[in-house]
Amino acid sequence: MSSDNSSKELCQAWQSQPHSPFQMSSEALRKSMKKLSRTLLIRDGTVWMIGLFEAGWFTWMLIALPEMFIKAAACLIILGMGFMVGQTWLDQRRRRIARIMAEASGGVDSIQFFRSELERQREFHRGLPFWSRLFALLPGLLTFGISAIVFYPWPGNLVGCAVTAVTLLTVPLAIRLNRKRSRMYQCQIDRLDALRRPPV
Amino acid sequence: MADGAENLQDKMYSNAVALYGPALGRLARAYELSAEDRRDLLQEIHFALWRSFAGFDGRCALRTWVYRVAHNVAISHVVRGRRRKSEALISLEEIEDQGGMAAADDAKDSVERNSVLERLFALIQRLNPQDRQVILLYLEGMDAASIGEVTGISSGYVATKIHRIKAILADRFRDGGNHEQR
Repeated sequence: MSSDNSSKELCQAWQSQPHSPFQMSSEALRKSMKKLSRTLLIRDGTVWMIGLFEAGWFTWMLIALPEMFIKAAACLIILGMGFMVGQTWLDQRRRRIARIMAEASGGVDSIQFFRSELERQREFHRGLPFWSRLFALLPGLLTFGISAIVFYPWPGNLVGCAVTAVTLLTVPLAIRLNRKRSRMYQCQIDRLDALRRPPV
Repeated sequence: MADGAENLQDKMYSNAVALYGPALGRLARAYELSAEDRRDLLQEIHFALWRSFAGFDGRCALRTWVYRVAHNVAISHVVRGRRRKSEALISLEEIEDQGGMAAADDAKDSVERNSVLERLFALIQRLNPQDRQVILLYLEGMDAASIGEVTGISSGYVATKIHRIKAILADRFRDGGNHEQR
C-alpha cells in the first residue's frame, strides 16, 4: 500500500471518530467571563496589598532601629525588595493577560503567538527590566554590609563581611544565569523564525 | 447595541461549533488523553472561541480563525502541563530517525491497545507543539497552504513535514496498524 493511500485511510478514520457534541451555553460563557474578570481584579488587589505591607514595614524600621546607617540600609533593602516583587508580579500579570488575549484572537497565527510569549520571557532576563531588578537590591545590601563592617567591632562585623561577600559574588552569578536564560529563549525564537522561512 | 453585539457573538460561536465542534473535540482528545483534562481543555477552547468572536474581523476564513484559537489555547495548555510533568517532547524528524520507536515504545507501555487511533493519539502526544499542530491539521484534511495559514509555518516547511508524516504513518500504521513494530 502506498504511503498516500494509507495516510488517506488514516485521515478518514480520524475524521469519522465518534464524538459527543459539546457546546457551552450563553449563561456558562458569561459566568466564565465574570470569573476571569474577577481573577484579574484579585491579582490587581494583591499588588496593592504587597505595597501596603512594604510601606508598613518601612515605617516600622525607621522608628525602631537606632543606627542611622543600618536604618538607611534597611529602608533601601525594603524599597529594593518592593521594587523587585512589583516588577516580577507585573511581568507575570502582563504575560498572563497577553496570553489570555492572544489565545482568544484568531488573528494571530501559532508561531506569532508562541514567539511573543518567548519574547516576553526573554526580555524579563535581559535589558532594562533585568538590570533594574538587579540594581534595586544592591545599594541596600552594600550599605548594610559596609556599615556593619565599619560601625560594629569584631565579631559583630562578621555579618557585614558575609553580606558584602555574598552580594558581590551573587551579582556575576545572577548576570550569568540570566544571560543563559535569555540566550535559551533567543534560540527558541530563532528556531520558530526558521520555520517561517522556506526550507533550504 | 451591546446586546446586539453579544447576540452576534453568540450566533457566531454557535455557527462555529456546529461546523467545527467535532474537530475541536478530536483536537482536545489529541492533546489530553485523560477524560477530565480533556473536558477542561475543551471548555477552555470553547470559552476562548466565544471571546474571540468579539474581535472577528473576517480578514481570514472562519476555519482558519477557529483552528488558530483552538491551537493557541491547546499550546498554552500543553506547555503548562509539560512544565508540571517535565517530559521531553520530540519532533517528527526524531521519530522518523528512530523508525517510530520512541513513540511506539511509550505507546506500547502505556496504552497496549491494538487500535490504530489510540496508537496515533499516543504518537501525537509525544510531539512538540509545532509538529503536533501540523499532524492534527493534516489529519483534519487541510492542505499545506491552509496549515501554514493557521500555524504561521512556511508552506514549504509544512509540505516537508507532511511528507514525513505520510512516511511515518505508512510505516507505523500500514495494514490497519497490526504490523509488527520494529
